[in-house]
Amino acid sequence: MATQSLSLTASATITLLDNNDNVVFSYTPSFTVNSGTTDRNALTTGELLIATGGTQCNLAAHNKDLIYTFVKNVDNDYPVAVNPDGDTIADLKPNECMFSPVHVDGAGDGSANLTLAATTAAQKVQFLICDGEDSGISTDD
Amino acid sequence: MAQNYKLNVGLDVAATSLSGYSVSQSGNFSMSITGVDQIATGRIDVAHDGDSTVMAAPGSGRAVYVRNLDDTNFVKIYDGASSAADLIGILKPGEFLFTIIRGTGTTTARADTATVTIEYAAIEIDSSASSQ
Repeated sequence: MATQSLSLTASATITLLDNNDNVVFSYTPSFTVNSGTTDRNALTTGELLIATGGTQCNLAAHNKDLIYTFVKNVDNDYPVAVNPDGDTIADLKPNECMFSPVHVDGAGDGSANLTLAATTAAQKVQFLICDGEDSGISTDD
Repeated sequence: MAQNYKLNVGLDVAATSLSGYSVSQSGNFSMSITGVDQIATGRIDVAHDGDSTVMAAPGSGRAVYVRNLDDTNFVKIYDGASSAADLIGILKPGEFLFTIIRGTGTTTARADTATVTIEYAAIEIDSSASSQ
């Protein structure tokens, strides 16, 4: 049994301004996932050159039932799509980033990878993936 | 006349192992948006026996923030109806997601075993919206 628990803290500031610089809304969410060992197998981060046909972040060592996923397009030209289990959950133009607790292994628990796809030409992304505890939802979601 | 907006976003994520290994990533950007037709924000109760709409189908795309305010149950956020099973994220109590989807699907939420309250903001973006 693993004894080296993982914990994660995520925070954000999200503010919308109108064309007179009036604040339409502003949110500053934050949470910490308490340290635990159940299902928390791996923690990875890095930078990848994403091909137009799709490039996979290998999740073989991760808990595909729940991965806290951060992806940022650090290139200059074209969007990158984030496609866990074939579903597009983000389209990021240069400088943009996303964060979500993602359930990867859809139908049949068959997906072992998080696919990232560039649209027009290869693009670089940076990512952080940290395992969370399985929510127990059905695998067809 | 359509208004122009600016969406400023900062995201910080840090993960730590009891072993002492620690990593972090962060991102900051400012998105210029023209011709917004929909801005949806507030709090809603999300049922577990049907879909709740976070934002109706946009013309081109949207930036979406959702936070689960419940203290017990998780909630699932979808691109489209939950029956299509295009799951964007699963939010346990207190957790949030932020993403940008350049597509025309409805954004929906569905709880698991009991009604939960979510905090949300969804902004329709135009096809030329870009960030610095």
